[in-house]
Amino acid sequence: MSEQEPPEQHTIIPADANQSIILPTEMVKRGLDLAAKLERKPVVKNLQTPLRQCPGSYSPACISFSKNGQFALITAWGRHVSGSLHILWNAVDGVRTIAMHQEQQQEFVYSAAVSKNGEFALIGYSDGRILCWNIKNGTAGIYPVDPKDSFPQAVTILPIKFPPYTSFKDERGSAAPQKPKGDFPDFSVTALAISPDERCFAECSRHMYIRIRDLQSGKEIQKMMIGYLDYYTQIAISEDGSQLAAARGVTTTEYGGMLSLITIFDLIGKRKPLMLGGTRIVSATAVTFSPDGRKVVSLEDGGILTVWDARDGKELAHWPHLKAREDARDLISRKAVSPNMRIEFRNPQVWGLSSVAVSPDGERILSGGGDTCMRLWSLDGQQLYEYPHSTRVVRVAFTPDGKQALSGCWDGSAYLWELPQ
Amino acid sequence: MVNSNPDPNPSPSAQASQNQQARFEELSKELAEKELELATLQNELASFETRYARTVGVYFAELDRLDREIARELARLHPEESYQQGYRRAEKKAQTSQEAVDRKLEKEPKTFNPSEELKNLFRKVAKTIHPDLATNEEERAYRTELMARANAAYRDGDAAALEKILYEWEHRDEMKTQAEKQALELDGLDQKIARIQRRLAEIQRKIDEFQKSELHQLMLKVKRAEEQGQDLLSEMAANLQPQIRAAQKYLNHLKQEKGPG
Repeated sequence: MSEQEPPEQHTIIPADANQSIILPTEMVKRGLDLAAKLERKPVVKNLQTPLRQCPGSYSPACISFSKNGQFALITAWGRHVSGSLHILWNAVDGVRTIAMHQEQQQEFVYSAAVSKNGEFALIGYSDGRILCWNIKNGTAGIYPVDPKDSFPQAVTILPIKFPPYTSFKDERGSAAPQKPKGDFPDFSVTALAISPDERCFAECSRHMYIRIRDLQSGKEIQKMMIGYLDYYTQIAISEDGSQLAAARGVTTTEYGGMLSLITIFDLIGKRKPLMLGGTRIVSATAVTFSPDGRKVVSLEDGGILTVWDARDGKELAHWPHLKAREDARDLISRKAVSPNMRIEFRNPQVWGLSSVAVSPDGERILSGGGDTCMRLWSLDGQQLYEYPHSTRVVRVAFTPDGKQALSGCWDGSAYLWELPQ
Repeated sequence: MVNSNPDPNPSPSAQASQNQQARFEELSKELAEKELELATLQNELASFETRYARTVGVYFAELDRLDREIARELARLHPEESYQQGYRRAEKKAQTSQEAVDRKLEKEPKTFNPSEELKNLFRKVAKTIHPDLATNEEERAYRTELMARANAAYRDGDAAALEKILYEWEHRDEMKTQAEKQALELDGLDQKIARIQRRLAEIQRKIDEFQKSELHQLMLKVKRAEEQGQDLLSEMAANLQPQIRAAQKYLNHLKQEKGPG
């Protein structure tokens, strides 16, 4: 029967150049490898409720977490709140300790820091003075602006047990801080960081300097010139205390010619400050070190996360924090800027306060900012998880075991989340 | 051609032929469906290939071209045989990629998106004029030609051409009597069924081959990324720019070096 059959090769489909595949396989293979590298995995939204939460109190809020992942210090940011109330939330048992500093009634707060074990907290005011609140024994002292006057003056702190939260809610609005009244220079303390050995702290004042001061006496140990600062500054000290990274977000276009706004200072050695970015404008609002101190992760205006090498300042990876690529695309493609060019920054008032954190094992990154989502990433930029919040995320942190995360919101609420494995 | 009034009490042989008839119907429907699937897959791959060549392929070709220039400069600077061989290889590679990309660039990139009506029409046409349903060689040749036209019409999205093919087929031979046609039909039923089954197997093989190919995998990746809102092809193109710039810089650096003698 088969002899009479026509040959197997049917010519139904003509050997038309339009139909056949003519690209060399090698070119397709290269494309496939590249696509595998660049494709993004689908976003997994967190649907579980947080393990613990602290209800919102201030809006906007300045939140900082202790290194042991237990304590959150919540205070009003950039707004006048009567009595300067500071709340310490214990995530383990949910207890809130509130204190009111009676003397500083008219000052604004822009920065705060909690020690590792929640024993004391530093709060920086807009006139340059820093309050040190010893939570254990309920005392407090104020570091004066001029460190020559050394020892901090003792001040009264009123412990408050039953807070009427409703009276502390301030007006919501844009992210622009109210500027304190007074002449230039503005000594507002815009960023604070406590060193890992808790012997000194770094203070970033709006007037161009970062100062390392002794914790006990307030004396100035080191002073570094950084340049004009704004209210969206963040400082980070590496785990071994040898490096300090400072990130500045800029809200106006007066500072044409700046090439980079993340600077790494060498605290113990003699290396010159390293400015990150090179040909790309980096207006960062959040910065942190990896646990081994070799990498720096930053979050920029418009929401681009970048991983840098802390030694030579080279950019290792960057990816957008947001899903929408339009915002991020034109920032990524921005080329080298001549010193005379005016720079426009993409609406930092929308992005405003933000935060990044690196897990203790150095493998994962948490980032949170103006798009109200906290996202968990792997080190090469694959998004692993997304935690939606009700308002913008102001601070994120890992717990020391790397299994849980803390996040603080613009409205003063703080949450403890379970992380996926 | 089908016996539209089946005998309610058929004899065993008539029963067998009715079963055959039913089986034949079923198989030819399946055949039409499979031809549609194969044609759709091929056209999708072809249009994706064009799109890929225009967005990313050009940059790969550019990289290959720069590699060739770099190899040329290196061959100039080092007279050893290995460098000369490297240059010849790079030249060949650059030529193949450039040719392939040029051929693809000539055409307009149209996404292949057939409507349901077009698909139904193609199914109907395939069922009617498929060459494996032919009863003799002459008819087979005619059917083959019609099928080729049908495939081209499907690729171009031309419903009018498909209708025209159907019309041509239906009016091809008004003269043959019903009995003659029927006689010719029933003889070839077994053979036709066998041919259809062979053709089905072949189509399945071709579809599997296409689906295993890297181009198909790439197409799936791009589609999935599009659903997520990511324009993967332009990201790939953007990713190649730094490599091209680095290669250009290296080439400029090499051009300035002085060769031996």
